Amino acid sequence: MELQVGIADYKLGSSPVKIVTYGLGSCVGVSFYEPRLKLGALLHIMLPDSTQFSGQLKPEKFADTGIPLVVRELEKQGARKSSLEVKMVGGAQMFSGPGAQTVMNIGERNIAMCRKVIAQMGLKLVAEDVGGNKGRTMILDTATGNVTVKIIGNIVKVI
Amino acid sequence: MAEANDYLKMDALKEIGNIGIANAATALAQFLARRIDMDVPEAVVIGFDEILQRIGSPEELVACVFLGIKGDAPGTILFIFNQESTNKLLKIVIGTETTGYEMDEFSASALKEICNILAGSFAQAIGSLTGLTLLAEVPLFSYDMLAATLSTGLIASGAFDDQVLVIDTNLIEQGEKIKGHFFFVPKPGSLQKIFAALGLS
Repeated sequence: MELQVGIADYKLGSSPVKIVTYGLGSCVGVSFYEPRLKLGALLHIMLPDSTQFSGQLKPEKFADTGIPLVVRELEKQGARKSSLEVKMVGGAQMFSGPGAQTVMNIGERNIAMCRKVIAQMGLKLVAEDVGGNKGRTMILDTATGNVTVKIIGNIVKVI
Repeated sequence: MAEANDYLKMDALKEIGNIGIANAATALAQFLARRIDMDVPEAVVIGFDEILQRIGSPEELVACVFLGIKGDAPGTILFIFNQESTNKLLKIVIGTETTGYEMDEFSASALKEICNILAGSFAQAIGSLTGLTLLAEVPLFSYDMLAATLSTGLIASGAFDDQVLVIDTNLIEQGEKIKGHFFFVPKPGSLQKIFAALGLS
């Protein structure tokens, strides 16, 4: 079975479910895996920092609120924070051209904030495939904890 | 009453889109010195989530051009062409198609130039309709997965969950349909300025 995660969204699943999010550009996909329970989650954040916005906010949209939210949900399912294996994918610079670095620096900021939140929460970041200039599809296999990353042209790697 | 006014504004927005695109197609025809026809564009205002479903599959290869608009009603214009339409456009403009997953610098420049012309004349049309000054900035370019390019382009436009004006149209050259998706994402406050200029505040 395959669960799909949209933009600013997350899904939880346990073995043998695969959790997938298609076409991460500047967005970052963060996967969480509890090997003891073969339980996992995949979060697809859009923006780094919820404190830059006001009004009714969707916590899954931001790195600073999305990561704690998913960890809480996993803990409710019996996961131990200390055994969670976290992987990070995405945050690419998708566009090129004059000034692209400043207009399009969201990927970089997303990566930096995810790293910061992961460190602050004392989570284990075990692998990552971030930055660069390619869109990525990310698949978490809850049977193994492996994360498969696909870029255009069927190039695949497992982290 | 508020609702009737909203419909009126939506219609005005669609009409702006139509006029803008018609103007853009004319400019492209002049640039290419060929006849370019255009299907009546379909304009819709939809949310972030619906946009992807509307255009294609998330991992499909597309060309995306991102243009900032500055002036009285700033915002962003995005163009998306799928691989087939990208190649048809390139064939017309530079005579060769692009193959594989990477686009060479020359083809990318040709596409950017086309979008520059389209966006410039779109902005100009809205400008003369409303009396506002709108200027297109230098285009940025991406050739990659639809979901990745489009989401990044929209996020960089500041469209986080707002509704986006999407105009779908076909440019037609000698019976060949070139399908293009066109997005106008106004910065906060810009739509109000456009409506006010049209007497719809």
